[in-house]
Amino acid sequence: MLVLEAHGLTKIYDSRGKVKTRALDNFSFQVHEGEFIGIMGPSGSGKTTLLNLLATIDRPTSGTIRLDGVDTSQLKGDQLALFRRRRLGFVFQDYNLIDSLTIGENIILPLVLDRLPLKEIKARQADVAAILGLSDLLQKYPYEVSGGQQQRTAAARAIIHKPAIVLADEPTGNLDSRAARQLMETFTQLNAAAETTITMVTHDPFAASFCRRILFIRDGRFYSEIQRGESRQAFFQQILDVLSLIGGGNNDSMGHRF
Amino acid sequence: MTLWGIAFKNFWQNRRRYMAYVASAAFSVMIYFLYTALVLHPQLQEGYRGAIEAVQGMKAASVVIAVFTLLFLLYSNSAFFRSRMKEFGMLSLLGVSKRQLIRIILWESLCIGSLAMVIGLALGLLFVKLFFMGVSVLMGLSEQIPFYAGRPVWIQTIAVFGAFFIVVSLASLRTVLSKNIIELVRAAGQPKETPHFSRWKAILGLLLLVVGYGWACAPNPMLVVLGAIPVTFIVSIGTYLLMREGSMAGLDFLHRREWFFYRQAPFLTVSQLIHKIQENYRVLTAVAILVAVILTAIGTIASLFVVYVRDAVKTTPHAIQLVLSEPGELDLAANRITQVLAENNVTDFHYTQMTFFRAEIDGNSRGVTVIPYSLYQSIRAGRNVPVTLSDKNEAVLITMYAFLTEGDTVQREEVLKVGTRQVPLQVHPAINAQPVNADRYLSYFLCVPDALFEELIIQASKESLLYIAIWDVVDWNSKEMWMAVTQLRELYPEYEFTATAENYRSSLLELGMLFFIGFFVSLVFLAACCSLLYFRLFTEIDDNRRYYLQLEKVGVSDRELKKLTWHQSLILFFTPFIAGLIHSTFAMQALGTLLNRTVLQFGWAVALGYLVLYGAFYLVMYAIYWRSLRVTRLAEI
Repeated sequence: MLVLEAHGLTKIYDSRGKVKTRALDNFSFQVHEGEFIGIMGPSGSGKTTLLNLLATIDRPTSGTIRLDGVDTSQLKGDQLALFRRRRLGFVFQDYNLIDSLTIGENIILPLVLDRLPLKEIKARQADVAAILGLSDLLQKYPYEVSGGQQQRTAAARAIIHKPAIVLADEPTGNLDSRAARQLMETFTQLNAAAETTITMVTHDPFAASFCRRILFIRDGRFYSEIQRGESRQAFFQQILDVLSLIGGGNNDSMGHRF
Repeated sequence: MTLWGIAFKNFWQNRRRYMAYVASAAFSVMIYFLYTALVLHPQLQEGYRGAIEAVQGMKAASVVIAVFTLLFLLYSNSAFFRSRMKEFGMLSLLGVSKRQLIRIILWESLCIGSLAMVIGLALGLLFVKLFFMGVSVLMGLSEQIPFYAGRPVWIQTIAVFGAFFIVVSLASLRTVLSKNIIELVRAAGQPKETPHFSRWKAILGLLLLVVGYGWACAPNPMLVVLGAIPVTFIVSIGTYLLMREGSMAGLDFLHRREWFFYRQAPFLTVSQLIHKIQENYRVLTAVAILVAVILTAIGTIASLFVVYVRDAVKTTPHAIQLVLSEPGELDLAANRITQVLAENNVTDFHYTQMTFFRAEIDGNSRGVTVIPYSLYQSIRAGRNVPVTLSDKNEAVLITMYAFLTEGDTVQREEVLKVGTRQVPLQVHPAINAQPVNADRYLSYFLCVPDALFEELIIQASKESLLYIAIWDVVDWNSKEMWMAVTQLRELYPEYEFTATAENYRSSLLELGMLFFIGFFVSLVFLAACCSLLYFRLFTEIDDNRRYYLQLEKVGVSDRELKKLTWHQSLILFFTPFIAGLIHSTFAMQALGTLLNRTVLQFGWAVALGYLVLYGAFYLVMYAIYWRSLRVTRLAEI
């Protein structure tokens, strides 16, 4: 079943001068239910623009996005917010946790926003916290826990309402290598066990090597696509190869992580 | 870009933050200008009747305004600069020297000061006519005070506020220069810890309030007077404790009520309030106390205004009254007064002539005026006669006010001494039920049964007899009547001649003026309250923007965000107002005990008026806040 279908996405930024930037140019792709997809490309390639369009926090100049069977261009204002809150899950580079809420409260934010009964909220909080190893931290505040724990909290928040798709924007960007590995293993586990559909934008080949399929994007256009076989190490090497072809890579510093 | 350019850019980038500062400074300048214009008004220097005292009051008020304004400017300026520490830190980091930094800050302060001054003076000039009209009406002046805004007014206003702005900019220099770069850069963005609280302190705060309120409710006027200062102190400390520990305890309680907390609005609002309590509680305390002061002061003045103006009529029930001690003079004088009245077209009056005598009772060293009960009844006919006499040995002692130390309000035994005779009497107290116009000598009346009166007046010495003539006019406050009274005042001294219109008008003049002065001073206080809250919101605007952006990303709709902002700012604004209102309600209760009547309704009427002003300000502030909060919208990233 198709969860996400992007067709002919184009985004043109009108800067104040006469220069028009074509951040995304006729980009199309599909995500099936239960997939774990990575989107990679050098900086300035348009991957963050793409994720913003998918996240419905920005609108394409042309092209359509069908998310979970809904054409998002048809949604207006509050409908859009509701759609985001019910059907999408987000993991951001800067965690985006609310300082004034505890870890436990941050996790259940989408459910509280959606006015679920307390019993249901509590049950799901316990489940998700157990999966992500956060059960002991529920009473703590974000500033009291490590970056990796904060990002896992964000991941828990992204899946607690069983969204159609989880969108992750450079989730390992602020993490050290150990925390990054832990987070990616968690993503893999969520994808495998809970059949969560994940689309992740990253420039980190190590993080990307956990995906099942990777789309490469360059200058706003589709560049190539690779599928993962059995070995993650082999996949990692494959990714590095593609990146070196694209250029603008940060692929030289990543080898030591194995 | 030149240094000038940087200074200007600073100003422009921070214009919304400056707005409250400039607005309240300009407002203070305007108020000060208006006051000074009135105080220095040439016509008031020569003096309307009673205007001299009023001008003294205005002078005192303008000093209060000036001092308060200075304190307020210092506070708001330091709050304002603290919120911009990072900006100055960045400038220093980029290599702007201390000397240049000083120049930027001084230029900026100069611009803001001049802007506030220009706006304030312009507004002052605009409203000075209206202000004089208001004063004229409240003082009951027959002619309006003419427009005046002479050079001394300008010089004084500009000098005082110029000095203030210099002091303030020096203070802000100190704030910035006392920190080194790293402190400046770090000043913002430190993660805030969740505050802890002590349940004991919360309970102590509550106890202090209960004690303070209980004391204010004491039925004994003496106790109330003794309590005035300690109660203010106790209640202030109680407020301080409750605003932090108390509201923390309350919020924590709500936080732990899962059925309440795990719903959209409480979930975000309660957690956010807990998060911000450390920064909020001082401002909340200050505003609560300021509001209490405003409401109590104006409530008191309003009560006095109503009570005294009403009492002026009660203590002077007869339009004109003449008291003489020689029987022969009375007829002559009466004819003269009737003639003056006729000359002023006052012919519709009721004339009465009576004889009383003065005597002494044990309980009152000042002596009493003895009158027959029938007169008391007839004069107060149609009104509520407080006491009926049944026994020959009963009497009513009428006093103008309940004095604190004398037992004027209890029934007791007294011995009346007339000549050589001593009459034991059962005395009933009555307050403010004067049968004839009270004056300096006629303030205590002993009203005895008619038979006893007839017996006693024969025994009274010739010197103790008083001959009284009264003219009752229905329309005692007419223009004609006032003309007649003014003429008659020239002929008779105050201890012989009294008139309702005169007493009424002088009360109106004094209290009206007091009311007016008080109201304007209170406006300055109110403006300060409002800007304190405004600063509270705007120092954190970057934080809050981030917070709203985070929520929006997770899928909180615009409408919900708006509701959230509305709730949070509503709580921030109206918690201190309600606290202040409760404080002032108890203060008004205490005032009621002192005045021996209920004045709560005046307090609440005043509070309602201020609530409207405060609410209007809140709405404006909320609109500005919401707009600046939404400067960066998600869709525009």
